[in-house]
This record gives sequence, C-alpha cells and structure tokens, in this order.
Amino acid sequence: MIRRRTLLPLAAAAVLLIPAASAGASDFGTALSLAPKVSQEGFSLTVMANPWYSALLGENGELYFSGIVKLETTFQSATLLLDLGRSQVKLRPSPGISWEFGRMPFADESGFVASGLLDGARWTGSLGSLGASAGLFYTGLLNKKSAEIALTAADGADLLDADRFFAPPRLLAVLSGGLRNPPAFLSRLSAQAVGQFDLRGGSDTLHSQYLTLTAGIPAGDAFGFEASAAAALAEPSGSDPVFHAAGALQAAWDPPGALKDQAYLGLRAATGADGGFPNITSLEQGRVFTPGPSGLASARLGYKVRPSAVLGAEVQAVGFLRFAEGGPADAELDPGSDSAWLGAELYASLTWTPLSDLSVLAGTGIFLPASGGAFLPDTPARWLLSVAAVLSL
Amino acid sequence: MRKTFPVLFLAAAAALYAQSAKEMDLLLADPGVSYARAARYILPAAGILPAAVSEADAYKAALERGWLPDGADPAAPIRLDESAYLILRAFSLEGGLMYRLFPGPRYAYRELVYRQFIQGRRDPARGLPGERLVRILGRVLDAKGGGE
Repeated sequence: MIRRRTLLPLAAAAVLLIPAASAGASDFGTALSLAPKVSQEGFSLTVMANPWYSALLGENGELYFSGIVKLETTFQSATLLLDLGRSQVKLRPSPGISWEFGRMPFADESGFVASGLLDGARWTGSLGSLGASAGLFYTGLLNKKSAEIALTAADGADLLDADRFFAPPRLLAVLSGGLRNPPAFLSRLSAQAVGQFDLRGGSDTLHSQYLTLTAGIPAGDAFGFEASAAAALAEPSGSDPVFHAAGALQAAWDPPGALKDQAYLGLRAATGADGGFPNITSLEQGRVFTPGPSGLASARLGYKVRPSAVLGAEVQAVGFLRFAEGGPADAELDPGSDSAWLGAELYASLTWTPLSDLSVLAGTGIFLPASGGAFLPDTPARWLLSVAAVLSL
Repeated sequence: MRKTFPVLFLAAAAALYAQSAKEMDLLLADPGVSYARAARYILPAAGILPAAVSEADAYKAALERGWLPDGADPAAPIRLDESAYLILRAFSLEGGLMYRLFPGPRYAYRELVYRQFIQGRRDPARGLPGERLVRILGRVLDAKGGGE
C-alpha cells in the first residue's frame, strides 16, 4: 500500500526541480530492469523502473533527478515501492571544487560504516596538499528499507513497523582528506572522520564516531595492497562509551598478458568491547549469506575477468567467522553453540552487455552453513540463482 | 578514453588532412557549428566525401541520405544529438537496441556518450562548438584505428 508520506520526497523534489526543468535544454530517460530470482526461499520477480531527468544549470552546474518504481512479487504477494533515487544539484564554481546538494551516493572509505544514498550537502576540493571533502547528511527522509539503519532497539522496532516509511533520523558529519602526492611507497593515503548523531531523542539513542585510515601499497606492476583500519566509539544513552575496531586488507594481482583479469584476496573483521560494531547502514558481507560486518570476520578469495568489451565474469569464495559476541543474528544459528566458524559461500556471476543500452547480469551461489557447529544440526544449504536484464530507454 | 587530447587532435587532423590551417582555426573558434559545417567536416572524415568538399555540397549529401533533419537551415547551429546521429551514420557505427528500433538523434547521442566519444558536461539539445567536434571526431577515428 502506498501512503501519502511515501510520495512526499518525490513531490518535494518535483516542486524544487520543475522550474529548473523548464529553464532550458535537458535530457531524460528510464532504466527498466527485470530480475527473476530463485532461491531456497522460493521464486521472486522484481520489476523496476528508474526514470531520470538531467539538465545543465548555467555554466557550472548540473541537475540530476531520478525516481524508483519497484514492484517485488512472489507467488504469494506483491509490494510496490515508490521512492526518490539519486537526485542532486552539483555546482563546480572552479576546477577541482564542487558542491553537491540533494540525495547523493555515499560510501565511507573503510566499508564498515555506511553506504548508500544520503540526503545532504557535500563539498569536495583541496586543502593545501590534501584532496578533501566535507559532508553533512540526514537519514530521516530515506526509505527505511533502503537504508536499513538498525543501531538501537528503537531502530529495529521502526524497521519492523509496517506503518513507518522513513529511516530513523540521524545526522552524519563527514570529513575526509587524502594526500594528493603520497610517498613513493604508497599509492594512496587518506583519512576519514564520521560523526553520527541520533536525533530520535528519548532514552534509547546511540551516537557514534568513526575514524578511518586507508593506505594503498603498490608492489610492482602486477600486485597491489590496500589496508584500512577503522576505530569507532559508540555512545549509547545511559551507558559508558564503547570502543570498537575494524580492519580490512586486500591484495590484488593483475596477471600479465592481454586478458583483463584480476585475482584478489580480502580479509575483513569488525568487533568491539561488546562484540559488535556500530555500522550505520546495512552492509551485507556476502551474496547468499548476507550478515552485516558487526562481530564478523571474513576471508574472500576471488577472480574476475573481462575477456571482451561485452563480457565479464567473477567467481569468489568467502569464509565467515564470528566473534564470541556481537556476531550476525540468524534464525538457524544454534543458540547453544559458541563455534566461531559460520560457513562458506561460493558465488559466480556473469555480466553480458551485448548492446550499449542492454545488459544482463546472471549470478548463482551457494552458502554451506556450519551445520551442527554454529548453525543448528541439519541446517540446509542456502542457494540462489538470479538474472537481471536492464534496458535503458 | 586512454588517449590524450593532443593525440585526439592529431587523429582528427589526420582525417581532416586537406583542411587549411585557416579553415581549422575557423572551426576551432566556432562556438556553434552549423549543419552545413558539421557535414563538411564529418563526411570527409568518414571517407564519404573528398576532403575539399564545400559546406553546401556536404550539407546536400547528408540531407539526401536523411542524416540531417528535413528542412534544416544549413546555416543554423546543429544540436549535439543531431551531430551524434550524423557521426553514427557517417561512420556506420552500430547503436543500441533502442537505436535499432528508433534510429535518430536521441539514441545516437546516447551511443556516443556510452562509447565515451562525447565526454564532459553535455546536453543533447545544446549546440556543438567546433573544438568539441574536433575532439569527438578524434575519438571516433582513434577507436576506428585512424588515429593510431
């Protein structure tokens, strides 16, 4: 059922953007996607349309507005979702400097804090020898299903509340900086600070702060490493602050030869004094088994190849472990088990782009749970087979 | 595109080999290339017409082939998407599914954007500066091997 407030973001954006739309030349289109999926849970079909509109504003500005019309169907039910997609004004007052306002993509540098579309403003520019950006974002106008913010019990209750559309109201302040010319032994060195302020009020609130350091380390022409460390301080209402830490290391190897391919190994872990890690948005760590990063360690081995301009393929294996506390919640986990090993996942995908406006993505994977270990005995394997075709009109 | 701007310029210049320096200066300084001038440079670059063809003859040839809008004033500025259609047809480039179903400037423009022949701030309904035309032609020729 579509409620009036569901349409509020769309209406507000339209009111703001229609004058700009009529002001000059512009472009528009729609991306249509059809995505059937079969898994151990059954069959589902997602049909989605993403209408978009873009226009130039003056000599240095751009406007982009998009919507999401999503119909998710199974044999038993159908759900229609209307939402605002990426919709922003971008101004470039001078080379290397930009201002963005509206709903824009955001991903923290470590991948442990937040990812997705956020509403707010962002400045990108330089401070001396640093490339820098600063942003201020608000989550209270996002669709709760897209953001999946569940830092507190109150957030979790809101997520399950069928009458609620919007995500919990939180303010994110982000400051990032990276060396424009890092030392020769580094390809990248950057730091990011994120402050998250719970605007809910009341007795069940959680503020949190994050500091991330990321370094890229080249090793010859074919090898490259990237290390990222994140420290987080969570401040639950009525309790002492709790320290958390997360880290990631990725090694990539580009084999010599004409084939565009890469093998990679990734290690990730996030834990804290109480076991968990206060990731703000949902950050799925797998394709079939999709826990968040909190209280989880994973090792990922993969290979991707692009044999031609129209074809790409990737295969990866992931092993999941949990920390003693704060690991993923799952209905089939054995509450009496303290086993760290959760299981392993194998996933393969194929991307085919036969034409510039048509692409097909097929993926299949299986998760083998540690049945009789962390999972209940006889927990069956989880699997999925999905296809998505996207046509740009 | 992996090639740098000077290389693109050289690629375009190689195709426009017979243009005099004065003509090239005029093209580069043109803030809004006309239909006739666009045809004058695109069709010879594609090898369809001789390099020394006049703007009027090039315009007529493009119009006869249906690559320009019927009744377009040869002196009027060509739109970016219309020039994309002219390029796609002149160079016999294949378009996407929607272009095959509905061939025309709209999806020709999309194709050139997808192939990164058109880069930077863009609006399909805006005019085409001469410098941008040279850049686009350079990228097309580079992709087709003419700029190697």
